[in-house]
Amino acid sequence: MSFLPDSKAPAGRILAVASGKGGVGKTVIAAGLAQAFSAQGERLLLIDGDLGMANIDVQLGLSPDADLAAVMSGQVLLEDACQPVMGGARKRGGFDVIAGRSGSGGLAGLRPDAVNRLAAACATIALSYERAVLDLAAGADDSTMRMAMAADDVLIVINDEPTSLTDAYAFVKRLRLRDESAAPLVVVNNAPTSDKAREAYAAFRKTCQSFLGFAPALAGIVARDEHVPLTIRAQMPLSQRSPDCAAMCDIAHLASALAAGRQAA
Amino acid sequence: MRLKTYSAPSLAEAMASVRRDLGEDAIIVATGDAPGGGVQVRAASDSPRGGDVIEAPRERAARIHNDIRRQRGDDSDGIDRIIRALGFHRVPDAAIEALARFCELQEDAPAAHALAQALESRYRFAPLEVAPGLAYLFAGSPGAGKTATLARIAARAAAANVPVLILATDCERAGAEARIAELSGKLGFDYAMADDPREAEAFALDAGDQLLLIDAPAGNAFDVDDLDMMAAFAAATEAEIIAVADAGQAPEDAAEAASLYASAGARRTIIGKADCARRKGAILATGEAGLAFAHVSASPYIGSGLAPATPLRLARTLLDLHDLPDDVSFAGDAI
Ligand SMILES: Nc1ncnc2c1ncn2[C@@H]1O[C@H](COP(=O)(O)OP(=O)(O)OP(=O)(O)O)[C@@H](O)[C@H]1O
Ligand SMILES: [Mg+2]
Repeated sequence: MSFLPDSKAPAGRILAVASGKGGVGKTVIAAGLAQAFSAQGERLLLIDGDLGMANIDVQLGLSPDADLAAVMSGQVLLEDACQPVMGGARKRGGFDVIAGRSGSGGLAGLRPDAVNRLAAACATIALSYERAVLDLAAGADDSTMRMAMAADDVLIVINDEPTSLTDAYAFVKRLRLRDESAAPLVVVNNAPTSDKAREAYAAFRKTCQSFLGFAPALAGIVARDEHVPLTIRAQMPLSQRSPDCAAMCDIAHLASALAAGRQAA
Repeated sequence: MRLKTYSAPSLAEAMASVRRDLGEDAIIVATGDAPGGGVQVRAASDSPRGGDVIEAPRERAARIHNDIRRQRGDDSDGIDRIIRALGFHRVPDAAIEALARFCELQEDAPAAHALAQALESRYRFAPLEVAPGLAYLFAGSPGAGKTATLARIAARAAAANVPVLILATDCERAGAEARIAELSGKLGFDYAMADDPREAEAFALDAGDQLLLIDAPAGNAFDVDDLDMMAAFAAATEAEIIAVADAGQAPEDAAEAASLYASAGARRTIIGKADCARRKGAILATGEAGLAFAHVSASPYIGSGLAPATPLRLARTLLDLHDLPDDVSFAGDAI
């Protein structure tokens, strides 16, 4: 496989997007990051790791012929399940997607060894890309944690609701129980104002610091933006329909910070 | 973690509520003005018992009981209930699959009957006969209930007017002789102590038409020397080895122990502690190893505790239906 000429990063870095609480915007952020990383010249793969409630394909308006469920059942090879979006990963601004649609039980219903195989398969195919973004299921169950463990970086999406704080905290706690050196990053999504977002992050940081002795760093803030629900309704990538909207700019910012290993200022 | 928001006229009052509810370890994650005036404090606590009222044993037991009922699927029906119950007991996966497949064929039957049929198809059931001239050696890990099992069989022999000779081989264990002596005295039977297989052989030759019940030396099922010693006692006395299994043991350990006893010559098992274990996967794990079920302990009392291990009884034990009136062990049923 050939990489884009301006590629610098080592291949195969996996970024898992997690949240604890459902519906806080994991899929929006994961898909947005895929668009932003590829716009920055990275050869990128987006994986829908939410087998039970997979919806990347719906949000992006795709109709995949093969998905992770088919890969798991051995019907297709993982690399054959990749579908190009906006010109595919070879084109700047485009990327490949592996959809996760599944009629049955989902990730939680898989046996631990099957989840491990799936995670290993994702890591292998990620080697053909410069980066893979993995949209995880909500929650902190065993399967989700196994998938998160397969990632190099974990980004936790929170918002300013108390339930988001407690669920995200539970996720960090489980992750750190499995790997003491795990250092997940935080993005505050759907922020009504920057101050509210910083308050939410401060509360989360303090909780983690006090009870876990570990303070996750803030990687970015994504504004509440009406273009997001509108693009989802139109089933289009955000960078295609509203490339200059506030949320997409914030996500692009987040992508640069993540790529550079920078924290939010 | 628990997270709560408090509003109060002053910070001090809000903090007092925080400490009272969440305990001393609570932290304040945010403060601000309350919408209706005064202050608002959001606090979190993550200590497992921080601020919890300590439960009385009775309440805690009731809560555990309810949790277990839910996990075991007591309120679901049919195949769903069976699969949940088997999963709850940590029955080995291969057995769950096979039993569930069998149960699916009998959709309309009540759960206990469907499971009983499935158990019948997969395992063997063979209660011990109590008759003159037979010999049984009870083997099992320390604490599995060997001696209690022997006592129950002896009690049943007494009820059937079969004379019994009890042979203890567990002489090194503190109090073993006293226990056997007391037991024999109560039931009016003879007892003898044998230090090695040769001595045991002599007693066995003298037993005549008494039922010979041998308490095997305390041994570790996973220790080959202990197994050899146990088998040597059985060979010298021409006794059938009965593996006494602990229903509450880890299923994997139970399966391995059962297969070792089987390789030493055991063909049947008596399940002890089925009345007090909660997760009973060890029962079916023992059957998976090829041993036939002879009896299962039904209550902790020596006089009434051992019931024949029928498929229906095991099914009800696993589904926790034994508190139904028609499953109470009656004198004639129990040993
Ligand atoms: N920055 C934002 N501004 C406005 N609305 C947003 C924003 N981010 C997410 N949303 C809204 O929140 C909804 C949920 O987002 P999304 O599907 O990405 O959440 P999720 O965390 O992936 O959910 P699940 O847990 O079900 O996978 C979307 O329908 C979208 O309309
Ligand atoms: Mg999602």
